[in-house]
Amino acid sequence: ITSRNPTTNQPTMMTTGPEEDLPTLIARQDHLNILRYIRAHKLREPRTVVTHGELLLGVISDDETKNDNDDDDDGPSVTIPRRQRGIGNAERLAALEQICVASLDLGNLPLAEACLDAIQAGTSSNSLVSKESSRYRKLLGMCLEASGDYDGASAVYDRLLQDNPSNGYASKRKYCILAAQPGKETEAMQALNDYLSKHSGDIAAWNKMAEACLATSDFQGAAYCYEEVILGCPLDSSIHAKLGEVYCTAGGMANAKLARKHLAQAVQLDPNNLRAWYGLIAAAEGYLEEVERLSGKGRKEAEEEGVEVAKELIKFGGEKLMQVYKGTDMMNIVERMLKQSSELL
Amino acid sequence: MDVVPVCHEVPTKPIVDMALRLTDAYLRQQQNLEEGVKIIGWYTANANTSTIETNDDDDDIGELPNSSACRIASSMAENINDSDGNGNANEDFVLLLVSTSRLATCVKEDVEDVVLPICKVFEKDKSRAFTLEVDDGRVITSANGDGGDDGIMVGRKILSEAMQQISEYSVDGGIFDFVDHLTECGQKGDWIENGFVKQFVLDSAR
Repeated sequence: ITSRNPTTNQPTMMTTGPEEDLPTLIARQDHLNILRYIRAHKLREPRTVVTHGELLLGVISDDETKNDNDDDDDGPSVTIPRRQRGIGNAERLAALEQICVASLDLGNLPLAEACLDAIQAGTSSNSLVSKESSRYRKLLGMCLEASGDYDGASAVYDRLLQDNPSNGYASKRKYCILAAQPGKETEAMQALNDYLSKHSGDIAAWNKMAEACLATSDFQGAAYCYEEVILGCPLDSSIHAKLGEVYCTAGGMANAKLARKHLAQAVQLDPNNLRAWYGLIAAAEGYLEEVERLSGKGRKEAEEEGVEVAKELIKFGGEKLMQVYKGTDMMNIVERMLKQSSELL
Repeated sequence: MDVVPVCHEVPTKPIVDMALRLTDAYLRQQQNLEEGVKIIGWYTANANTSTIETNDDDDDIGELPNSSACRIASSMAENINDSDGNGNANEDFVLLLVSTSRLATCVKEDVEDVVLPICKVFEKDKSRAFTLEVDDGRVITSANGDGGDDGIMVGRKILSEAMQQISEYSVDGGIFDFVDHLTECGQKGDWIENGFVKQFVLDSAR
């Protein structure tokens, strides 16, 4: 299937997978294709995956242990039949992997572990997946993480890295293990830094790093990271808005100008980005405050043009906000706020 | 007293500024109906939490507000003037920390497991950072207030039901903050009053 992005008219990536959309497939209870669709489009729908995955594979889970002796309370038990009609081996393994990850997302450890066992056991005819398989070991690591055995999980990832030092997935999980533990923020950032030095093209990781910098109030660091993200998604309005906000928070004349620039870019890319409009007004006001703080008439005069631009932006932003809020409950308070703002000019 | 939710991520200056100004404008609008209401604090919660560490008196120890929340509280305290307008920074500004680990107890099956209170109050210390915990004696909560045992039971019940609803994703348009309002392109305009929440609390308290 090829399709075009409606805003930019650029062709989007080819996605394989079922022709129909998800609601149609769900209505038809077509479990196999539901899972395929979610895989192809890389959606995060753990409940759907688990519900339909269980139906596809005939999973039986006992939520209440109906044992007579209460000492033997192992919790819910999950059984996955070794063979299922109408589904080939490769599909079955792919489905098991998908359900395993989805059940971890939901915190359903018994189901995840059952999937892991089923993958490793293979079908009754032969065991297809070796314990040495790196794909299997990835899942094993995630299950260990979910059960809180961080040392065990780390060991799995370390071995994966030994076998293949450029295994990005394993390095990322090592970062995740640190990030999950309170009090280990510095070590986590160090691990992420190590990952980024080897995989500097990973936009999602730069985004994560930016958030980590923000959390520790390292605004220059966060700005650097978001600049890297922008290299990867130059037409994404929300990233420009985020970067603008970070520059605005960092403060200082140079940052104020950059803030204005990126927020202006954000509203240009997406005039419906309400957050960017507020940010634009805030950035322009921030810039005016910086100009006020300048010492020396000469320096202030040099910024005259910038001041005019900033005032225009505030007015422009104000008009847009009034447009958005016209007739809504918030209209009055927005008007009040903007009036206050213009009194400061 | 009331709370207005602002964001569910690390706040940036534009977000805090704008939320503050809009809330201020809202309060001035309400001023006609109520006595002078002013902004007295900022609330936060930490994303990561360990299990509750308690000392012998069953008080949980150690959890401090994250550094960005402290920073925001400091700058808000500097900038918000008293309503008498004489330019003094607000010395009574507080930072409320919602304990994530105690909030987690509200998701448990048994209402008895809910540990109250779920908030800790912090104020400015000598270095003007907001890491000085206000001692329990100066804080009135449902756990130690006039409500007595009934007050505690009601508080637990409300929190427990609220968390059940949220965790079951059955709350459609329940509670939303300023950032939700912005992301939804101007929908969810009720982020200041959150009428749904008010009604929920009233209904659950019965």
